[in-house]
Amino acid sequence: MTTMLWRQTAVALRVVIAMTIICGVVYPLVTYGIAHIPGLAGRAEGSVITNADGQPVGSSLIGIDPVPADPAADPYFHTRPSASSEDVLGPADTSTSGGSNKGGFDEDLLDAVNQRRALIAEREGVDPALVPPDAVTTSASGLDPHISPEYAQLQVARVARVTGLSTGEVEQLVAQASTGRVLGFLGEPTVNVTELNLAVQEAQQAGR
Amino acid sequence: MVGNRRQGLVLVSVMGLLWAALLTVAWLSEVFPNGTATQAAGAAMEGKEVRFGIPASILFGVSTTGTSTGAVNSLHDSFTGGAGGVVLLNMLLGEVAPGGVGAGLYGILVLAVIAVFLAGLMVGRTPEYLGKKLGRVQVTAAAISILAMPTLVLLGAGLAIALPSTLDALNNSGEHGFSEVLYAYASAANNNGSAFAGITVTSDFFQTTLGIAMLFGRFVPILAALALAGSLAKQRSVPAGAGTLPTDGALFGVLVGGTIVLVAALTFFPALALGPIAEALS
Repeated sequence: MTTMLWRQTAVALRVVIAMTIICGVVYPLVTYGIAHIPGLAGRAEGSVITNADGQPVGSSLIGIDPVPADPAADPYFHTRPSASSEDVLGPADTSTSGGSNKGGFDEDLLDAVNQRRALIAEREGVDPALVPPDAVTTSASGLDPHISPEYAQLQVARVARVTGLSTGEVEQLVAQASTGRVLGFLGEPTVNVTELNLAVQEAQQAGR
Repeated sequence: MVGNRRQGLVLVSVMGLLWAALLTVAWLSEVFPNGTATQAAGAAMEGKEVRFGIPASILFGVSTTGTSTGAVNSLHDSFTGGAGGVVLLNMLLGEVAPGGVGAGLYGILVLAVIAVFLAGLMVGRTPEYLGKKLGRVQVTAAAISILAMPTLVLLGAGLAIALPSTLDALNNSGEHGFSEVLYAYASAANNNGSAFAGITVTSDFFQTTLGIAMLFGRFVPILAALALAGSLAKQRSVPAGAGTLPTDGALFGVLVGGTIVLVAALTFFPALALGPIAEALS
């Protein structure tokens, strides 16, 4: 009886040691190694994007709503609202990631949606009915870098006017920042706002 | 291991069909939302990322609650009543569609044992499954295994709702607030890990009761399933007789599916009616 107990304990101990080495040391190293194969390394390090001078200026995975110096001349494409921002629109609190967790019948959410719709329509100078759903709702992360092609199209006219670029040029930049569905059917077509704003800035500087 | 591929095929079909049915309900509910705020926004995009949109968010939500991974790609708390109800129901079924990671197989096998037992009651014969007789010990173990989780969920959620302090922990009011509490206990007792994350469970009460739900919701069914397996392993196989219910055909599949739905429906319908169903119909 005692010998069997001892044998079972010894087997259990050996399994613990073997699994600790496999799962605790080998597995992380293999994962780290695969993540740093050239071509994949950028993703593993946070998808940092750099400007023309090679300075890191953001991550293509994180969208934070840009704040224009002069609200009357707003040269930026805007991200979706964030549940962590102070007002209904505006930049997210980057120390936290998360959504509103509000249900579809929530009064506060209804108010926020209506306010956002009015503010965005005024900013873009369009009919409130034209503002797409993703522009008036907060994302799951609060840091969604993507907007729908509809919301990007809505902002093209204003960005072109303020930056002095032609509508055609801005639309071309939007197309360059766009991604279709994965494999043609997974997910939704998106426009990456972080990349798009940088491209607009560079085009504007090149034009001067 | 049983030496009969069709036996497994039946169970897999039941899991797959349930998963597909739940996915359909959730998708319809999200594409035709009924919330005032959702309708004002134009689509149920609150709590979802643009790159996933509604279809991929729902697909992930229904799959993650059916497999107890706990990962989410959208906020379940902001789902419409119907879709929120589906992800909740998915856990309340015992995570058998398509089955929790590591826990899905014994989950559906226990339900198959219950289904065989029910069929045995109907014809008045000692039930047998895969050549093993199901006697008092086996059925008791199976019953304990499927009753542990509902007991914990309903007792926990009921107790929480009875406390006035729970109102401060909620992020939503009305039916949706109740769903948050129910989801918290369902997720804890099923070892799921996803959440209607609006609820704040940092109070001593929630920490303690959710911890208890997690401990017993996980280990009581495992112990019962092990007891069931052990008692069956000791038995000698009996050849199938004329009165044996064939468990490798569509009839048995329907029986297992019906058992899964009936057990969950009879146990949880009152609670679900107060939360997600009320919200879906308003």
